[in-house]
Amino acid sequence: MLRGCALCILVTASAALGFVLSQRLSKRLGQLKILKRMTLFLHGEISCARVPLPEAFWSVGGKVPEPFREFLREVSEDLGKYSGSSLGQVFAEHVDCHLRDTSLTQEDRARLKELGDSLGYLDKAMQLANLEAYSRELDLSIEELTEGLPAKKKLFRSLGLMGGLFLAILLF
Amino acid sequence: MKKEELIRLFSGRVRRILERVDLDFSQVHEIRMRTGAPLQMICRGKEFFPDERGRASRAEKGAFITERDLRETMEYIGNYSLYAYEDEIRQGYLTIQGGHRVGIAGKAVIEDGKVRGISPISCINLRISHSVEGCADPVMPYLWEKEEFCHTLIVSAPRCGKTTLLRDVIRQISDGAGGRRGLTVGVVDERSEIAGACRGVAQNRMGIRTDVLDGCPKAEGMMMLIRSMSPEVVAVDEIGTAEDLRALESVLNCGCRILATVHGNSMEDVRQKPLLGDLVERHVFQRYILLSGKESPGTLQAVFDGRGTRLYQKGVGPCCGAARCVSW
Repeated sequence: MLRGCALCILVTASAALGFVLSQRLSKRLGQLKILKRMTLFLHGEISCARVPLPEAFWSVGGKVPEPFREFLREVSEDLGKYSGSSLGQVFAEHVDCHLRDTSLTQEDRARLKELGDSLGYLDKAMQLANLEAYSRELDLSIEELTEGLPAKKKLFRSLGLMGGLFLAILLF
Repeated sequence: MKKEELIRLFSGRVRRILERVDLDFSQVHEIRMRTGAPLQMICRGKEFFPDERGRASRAEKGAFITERDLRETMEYIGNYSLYAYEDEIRQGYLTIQGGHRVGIAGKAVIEDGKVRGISPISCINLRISHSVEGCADPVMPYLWEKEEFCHTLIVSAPRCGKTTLLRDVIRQISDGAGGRRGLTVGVVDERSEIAGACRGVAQNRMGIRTDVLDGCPKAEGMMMLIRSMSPEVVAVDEIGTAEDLRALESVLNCGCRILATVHGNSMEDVRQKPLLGDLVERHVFQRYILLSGKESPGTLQAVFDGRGTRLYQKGVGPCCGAARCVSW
């Protein structure tokens, strides 16, 4: 009886793990879309109003959900402190601090840090070009993820369940 | 802007020097940074070179500015976003919060024969704005005739305080000083020097009835203000081009009063200017205020009416209208 319960828990946990991983993929897709929106807003702030970056971060922060809101607002606040760190450094610090627990991959975060490193350099055209380049990269990631999403989700769920069953049979 | 707010715009190293500097900061007019040259401060018209410990001496040595100091300072001044100040940089300066003017020099980037920007920037001159409220008190009684504000031209050489005087006159006529009603004043501040606007918001006190059009070419700005804000007085700094003068005439035709400044050492200088001289001959302006910087910036030298009658003379005081007073 006890063994039966343990095996049941094992199968359920394994299936749940597969489900969580598949959900994570959907979340990543959602968060990449938020980053895309954030990039578009920043593009607008710079091209239409030629707003300085700290102001642009603050105002775009108000248009995106947490944790991106807090991330942008804290970058904006820290830039106003003139602490001696460059924009790229401040940006990277906050990517690590606020976006570590999101579903974004390390590669996604590295790409975002690269964007922070390239912003503020030279003229308006350069800022817009940087944002557009980043936006294209996001588009590619979103496209890749969207295409393979149903299959990958199914795969994770099945693997979770099958893995659990396999372990249960092995232990039984 | 307080001292702390001002010095935080400098790189960490320069900031530490300025924090310790043994000069009265309220008397500092300029701070200059040049790559490879010592940090320079202009205080009460004299230059000082502070060292790392903040000891300011007249000797031309002290803390030398590095490329990194300059780059870091420009990041702070430009709010990490120099692209937002492209137009200003193209003209060689940008105005920061508090109305202070940051002049820049370095390698000009030319495209199609026009200056597109300055990069790298190797010299910075921070001119600290000191608005002197009340500096227009001595001239205000001369600027009214039959309870109407007179078309007024302030004449002075550069750095003799004409913008400071203009700013205070604007503030006083806008607020309604001396028991007179306040007038709606439209200011075209092409170089952000009068209002010291930062992102469109005036940083200097300009009076409660003042509308400021910041960063707009004077000629165009005057017409825009007339169409949109119905000012009773239109104020501009440093008129000179044919377009400016044509716009001034349009302002006159609209029934607005004019308050303007022009570069010149004397009334003779003004009369000899090709287009402006014509306005003077036609008695368009009703008052001329002549400033000099011989003793100190903003010294009131003389006030004339439109026909050249001296209304005030430095050292003499208000004139009587006798023959000796009737002259430029």
